[in-house]
Amino acid sequence: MRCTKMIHDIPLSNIPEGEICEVDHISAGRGLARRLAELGFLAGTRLTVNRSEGGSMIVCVNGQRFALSRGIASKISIK
Amino acid sequence: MNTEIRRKSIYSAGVGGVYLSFGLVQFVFSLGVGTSSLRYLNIDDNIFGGFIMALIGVVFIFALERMRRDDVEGTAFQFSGIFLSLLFAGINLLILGADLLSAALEGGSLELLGSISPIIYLGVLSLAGLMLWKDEFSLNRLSRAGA
Amino acid sequence: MENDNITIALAGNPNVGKTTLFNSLTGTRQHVGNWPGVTVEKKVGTARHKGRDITIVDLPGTYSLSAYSLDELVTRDYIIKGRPDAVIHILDASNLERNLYLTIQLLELDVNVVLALNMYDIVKNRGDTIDVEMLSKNLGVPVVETVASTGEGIEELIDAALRLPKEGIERYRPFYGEDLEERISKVMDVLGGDDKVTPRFPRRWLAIKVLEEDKEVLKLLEGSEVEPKLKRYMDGVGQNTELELVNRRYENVRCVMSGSCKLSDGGMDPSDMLDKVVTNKYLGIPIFLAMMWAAFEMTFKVAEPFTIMIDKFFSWLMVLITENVGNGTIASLLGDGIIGGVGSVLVFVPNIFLLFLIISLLEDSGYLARAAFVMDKVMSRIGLHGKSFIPLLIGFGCSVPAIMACRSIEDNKDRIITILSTPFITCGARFPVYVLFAGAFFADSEGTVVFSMYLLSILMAIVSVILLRRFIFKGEKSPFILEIPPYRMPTMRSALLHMWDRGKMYLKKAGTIIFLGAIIIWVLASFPPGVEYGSGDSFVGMIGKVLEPLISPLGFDWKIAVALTLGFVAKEIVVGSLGTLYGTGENDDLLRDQLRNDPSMTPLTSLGVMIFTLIYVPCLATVAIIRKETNSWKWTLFSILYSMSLAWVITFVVYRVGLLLGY
Repeated sequence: MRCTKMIHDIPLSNIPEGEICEVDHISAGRGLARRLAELGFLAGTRLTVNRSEGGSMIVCVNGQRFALSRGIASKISIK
Repeated sequence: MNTEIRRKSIYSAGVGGVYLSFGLVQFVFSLGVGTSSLRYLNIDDNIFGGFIMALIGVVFIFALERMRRDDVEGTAFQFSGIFLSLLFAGINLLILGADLLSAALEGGSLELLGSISPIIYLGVLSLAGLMLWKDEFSLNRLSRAGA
Repeated sequence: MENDNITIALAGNPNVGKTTLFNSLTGTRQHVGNWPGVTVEKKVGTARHKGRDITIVDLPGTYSLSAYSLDELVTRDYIIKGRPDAVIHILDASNLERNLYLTIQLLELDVNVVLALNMYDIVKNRGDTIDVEMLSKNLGVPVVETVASTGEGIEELIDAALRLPKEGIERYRPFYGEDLEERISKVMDVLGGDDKVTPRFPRRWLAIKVLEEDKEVLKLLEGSEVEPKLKRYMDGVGQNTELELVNRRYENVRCVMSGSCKLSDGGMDPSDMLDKVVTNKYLGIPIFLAMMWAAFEMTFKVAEPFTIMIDKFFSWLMVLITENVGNGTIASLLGDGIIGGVGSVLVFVPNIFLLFLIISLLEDSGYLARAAFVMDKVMSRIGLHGKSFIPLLIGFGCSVPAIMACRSIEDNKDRIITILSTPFITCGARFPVYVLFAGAFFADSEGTVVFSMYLLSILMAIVSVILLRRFIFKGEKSPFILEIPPYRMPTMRSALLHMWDRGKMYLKKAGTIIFLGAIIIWVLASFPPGVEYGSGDSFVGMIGKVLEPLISPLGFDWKIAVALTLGFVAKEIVVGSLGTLYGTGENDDLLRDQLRNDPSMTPLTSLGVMIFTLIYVPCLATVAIIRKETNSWKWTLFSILYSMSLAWVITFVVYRVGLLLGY
């Protein structure tokens, strides 16, 4: 059964500081996609945006902090 | 306004103001302008020292500003201000010790009282702040590296 | 009494304290950093446990065992082929979910595993609870709580590891869901038909890798008879299957954790509070600058008493030798040659070691990770990675450990750019040259001149990066993911360890290359026999006269030519050889006077000498390490020629323009 889903394509790099959001999908090449997934950026994972400076960010996933460059943050789409 | 927040705001304003003014004065001194009367306070003309004190002052001012909107953030800035000032106070104390040692080795001497720069003695203010709000800062949460 | 040789491997995520554990066990010095990805080299040591010797292998820190990174490949290859008797998987107990992801993969490798729940004290402080017994039961492997920095739990850990080969426990087998499991068994059947590659690996693991389209596994199976059949299961399946497997693994992890873990609701802890300010848009960079300033102040001021002591010691030694050694030649060899040469290097040991100590403290505390983040924005404008900044920082002490630190930069282009630009950062060895010349010719503004040299070197490094990026390594800088650990109180012990790790390279250089260099110079300066030590008639003088034409456009004479040439071996030798050439030996003050009295030396030329020294050719040890780290003669030669030409051109310009301006 398919539910109608709204297409959300907000890149993580646009999410403001302090927001808690959920990962929708990752649009990246093989290696990077896997790497991100293995670090915990899976569909449905909640993350908190601790810091955002012009696209480069520090996010908190599963209690772990990561600094992401703008390039990477823009490849992670948020619901 | 909550009294605790008020207390913190006054503290931040006070400490921030002191650091900022000392820092600016030192900065001005380093540019050549001098008023000898302020030498009482051991303010020298090291431009970087002035910069650092001013920076710490700014952190406290930020704390004051944030405290009005959201006291959690305000406390965070205040804690950071305290931490930074104690850190730099400690560093300068260490340097002072080394200078004393160097002077002793070379056979010279160093005027102790005149060398205790503001960065060191203003640290007392931060120590006070640390004591007052120790619980909120829950320092025991910091763990050991390489555990 | 068994005398079998037991080997235990240490695996785990980066920053979990694996290397600390390794050090505690083996007592050897290793490098621990907050940066992901240490070296690809395997570190091996021997531990003594209850009367037995055990070989310990420290595998690189990895998040997973895929084929995407060299670290991971090295780790899994070792486990599969090296067949260690046991693998101790070290987990950061405060981050269990992500750490257990690796555990699941290890369990699939059919090797004996023991889990070390490290950083257990953080867990307790936070108020989380982990039911260790339950976890152990769920996974089917022994689990031991440890706090590696204090040594708690290490004994039980090794005991459990040693017991392993004998106990047969039912281990956890991840379940990937009906659909994927079905495909896994189908692939396993197909693989059964291959008898060359498949028997070497755990079959289920191999099947899973095939479905993931794991590069290395596919390469191995190329050309085998089962390859065409396998292709059926792989086409059109690719990335989705791979990510799905990752997903399912995490579900397995959560399943294992539920019932054995309860995580508390965290508030804002001190780390978060500090980060608000440290990574703040406006305050971040000023704070960083303040920290850097404090670090350098400390390096100079705190090292001073020690430097004075060492200086006094060598002077005393010199006097002792001149008074007691009868034979003039030997006295000269010992005094001028060895003590003069090596002593001038050792005098800087306090400075360099202190710098490394401070860098280690910053690293261990977690601040450097924030600094990298803060600096990243600035650095990307010139085309560099945030991670490049640590090697550049270390370069202020010595280029050799700095270039080694470049290993943590994953992208090859970024790495090479950083390696080639690091030598421009003025290292501890060049400092005496500035002090000498600035002291001689710019006595009033000595500090400012030296400081400007430092600024110039930073500028040169930046220019170098920009040029390399623009003309040779075109392309975008690679993306940046950096794990940011919580702030920690650095332990003196581990900081001293890292300091020693990097510092010993400097000492080794002093003990070997410089020692030999000093002797060679002494020989060249003392012969032909009867010649005045270091004069124009000695061999060293003759060499200088030959080289003179090459640098006279820069305003240098043959003595400088010699000193600079010898400086190719090690920059520390430059001052020492000048001392020899001007006949002043150890006495720097006398040398300064001599320099001033030399008609060919003017403030302008001395500026030229300082600039040339700053830019030209890296020392021999650095060249050797560049060759090793870039693995190519091409880049090594490039580095030499590139810095040499830049040095010549810039000094030429400065000198000629200076002359025009009437200096």
